[in-house]
Amino acid sequence: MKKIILCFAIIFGLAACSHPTYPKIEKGDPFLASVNIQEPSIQFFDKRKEVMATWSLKEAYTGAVLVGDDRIFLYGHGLDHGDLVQLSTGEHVGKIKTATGISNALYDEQTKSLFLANSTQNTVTSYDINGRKKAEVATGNYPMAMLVYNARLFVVNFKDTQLMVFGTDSLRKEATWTIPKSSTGIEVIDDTLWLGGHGDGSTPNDTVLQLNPSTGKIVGNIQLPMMPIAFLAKGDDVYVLSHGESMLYTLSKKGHIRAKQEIAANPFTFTQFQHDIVVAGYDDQQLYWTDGQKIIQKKKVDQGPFQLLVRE
Amino acid sequence: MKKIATKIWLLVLGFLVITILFMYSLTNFLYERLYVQDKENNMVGVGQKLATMYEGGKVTNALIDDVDRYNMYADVNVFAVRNPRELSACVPFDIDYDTLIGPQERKQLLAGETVTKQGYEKRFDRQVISVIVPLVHEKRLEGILYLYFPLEKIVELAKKDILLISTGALLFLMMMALAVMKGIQVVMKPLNRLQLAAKRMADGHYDERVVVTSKDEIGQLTHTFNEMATAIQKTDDTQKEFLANVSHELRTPISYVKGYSEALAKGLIPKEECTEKLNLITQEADRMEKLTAALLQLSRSEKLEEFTKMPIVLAESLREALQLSQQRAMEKQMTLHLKADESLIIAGDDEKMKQIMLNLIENSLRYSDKETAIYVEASAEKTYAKITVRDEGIGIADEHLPHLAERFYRVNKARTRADGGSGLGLSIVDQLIALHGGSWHITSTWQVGTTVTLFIPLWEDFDEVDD
Repeated sequence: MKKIILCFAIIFGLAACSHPTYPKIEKGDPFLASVNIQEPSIQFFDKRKEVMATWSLKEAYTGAVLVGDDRIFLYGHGLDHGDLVQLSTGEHVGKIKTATGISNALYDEQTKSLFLANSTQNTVTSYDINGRKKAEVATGNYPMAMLVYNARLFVVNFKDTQLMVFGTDSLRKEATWTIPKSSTGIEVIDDTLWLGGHGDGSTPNDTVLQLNPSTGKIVGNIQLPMMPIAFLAKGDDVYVLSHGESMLYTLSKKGHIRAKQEIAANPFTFTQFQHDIVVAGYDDQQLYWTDGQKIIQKKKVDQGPFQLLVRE
Repeated sequence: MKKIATKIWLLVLGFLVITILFMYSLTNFLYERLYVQDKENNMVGVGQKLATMYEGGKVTNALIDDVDRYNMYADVNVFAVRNPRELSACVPFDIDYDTLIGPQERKQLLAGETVTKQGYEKRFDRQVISVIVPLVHEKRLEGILYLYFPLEKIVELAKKDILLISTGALLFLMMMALAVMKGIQVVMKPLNRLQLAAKRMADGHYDERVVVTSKDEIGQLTHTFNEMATAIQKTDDTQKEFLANVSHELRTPISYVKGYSEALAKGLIPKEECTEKLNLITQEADRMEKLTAALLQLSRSEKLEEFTKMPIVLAESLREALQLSQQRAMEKQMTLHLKADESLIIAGDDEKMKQIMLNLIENSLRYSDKETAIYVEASAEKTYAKITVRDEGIGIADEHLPHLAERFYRVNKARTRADGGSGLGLSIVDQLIALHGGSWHITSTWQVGTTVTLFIPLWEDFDEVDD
């Protein structure tokens, strides 16, 4: 009997300790990675828009962030930990114990810090690249969108009307600015903070708020139906992804609409990769490569592409 | 103790209550299954037809207006939705908002499926049937057509008239209870009559009869009861008559004996007649002795329900009986003739068999003229021995034949005393033959003669007897 118990203990012990090894991503290979969350997986595309690797994730991860050039941090809203995986080996290299409710992660190259926003604890915690906790700070209700600009961490509280600014080093709070509820999508373009959102209640948001990143003062707004939630500057153009109407707007830096293009079904995210804009369609499970005018290529991905990660 | 009528009434009432409850649930069930299903199908049809107005691309104001216009005239509520917030477009973002459709429904709609659901909708604050038809263009859920219909349960409808319905149900139940009670009373009436009659019978009123009013089981029971009452009455009458006969038969010799002996004691009889009178007294005493012996015999064979049957050589038995009667025959200058199959073996009792034959020969001797003959014959007939006793006597009129086995029955009442018979002979024969499991009958022609035929079971068919 004791032997059986021992065997079980060993088997479970090994199972608990063992981590899956994923296909390797060679150092120096640029890639575009689609993080799919309905049946969690990560698909890596190369410059030729071909799939170079697919990682089927065994745990209920809801997001990922690149940590430096050769590491990726995987986290889940319902999980009590996050996992660091080395891309070049595909091996698990670290684990960060967290509380459940991680809603977003951001890596700052400058301070080599990993910031984790927790939507149930309402905190932001910073860790070093080895997963050691550095600092933690209380936020408003449901911290989610984050951005580092000029050594400051901007945190948008999704279910709150506050945008908070912290020092990236110590997470000391520097400012709190009032913003609309359900705001998400934050980007600095030409020293102006662009802030989008979904909208509150049944009313879809149709405004891009422009703020001074130093003072928080509103310097302008752009009317864009519906739900502008992601921004990207490329040359003279600013691309805005309109989630509610599946539309990609091309704007001037002053906010004038130069072009618009219907793309993807229910997209949440887009990015720039090798001079192309890539949009992820959450409902139609496709990635779209576009030059801003027309679609260059479509690629089928797994269910629920929610984030796009790029290594150039 | 409760009456059976009360029990039946309570049972029927119970069934009625169960029926009412069952009907209520059945109605509810049918409403759900048929009415709701029909409504849902209807709504799906309407929704899908309306969806044909959508030509792809963004949902236009014109389409929304058209749907609104239809809504104004239709009996179902319908509206078009294009707000992505309502369509759960922002899931997986955790949103503090109760959207019109959930993430799972969004998946179904994206696949082009029409979603139907039933239940409470917070937005409408009531139970509804909802049908959601997707407006999909290039895998984009551009909008939906939302149709709903208030799902008022019968209970909900009935709430308004609950008092009326409950009162109605109660009234119906009361009326039914009364009707059932009356019905049971009608059904139970003959039974009550029967019970009263049985009680009167028990009190000795054997002439009690119940009128048969129906042909059902109770009618049959009543009929059987009447038959039983008739049988009891007849037995009672026979018993009374028998007692009267016994008393009468005894009284006559007693009065003779008493009269002559008193006369002798007082010296009223002349000396030369004394011997004659004493002989008469002896004769009457003999008669009484015979009578009491016959009564004793009758009562014995009545009690004897079964006796052990033995194999008897019938011819031997008959011969002995004839020998015993020989003296009496000679006195009347009559002849006895026997013709019997010597091989016949019957199952019975030798003494009883002889008693039967003696009684029959005695009767023949008594009612035959001098110098006539009596013929006794025995032969086999199937599994029985057939025995006939034929005389050339005075014979018996047809009307008397069925009554001959009755006790103290006299063909000629006036002749009784002269015959010297007890009036019990054939009764005893009847009983003894019955004990043997046999049968008998009499044929007779007035002034020509009488033939008595008996059938007694043969031994070989007696399986019950041990070797």
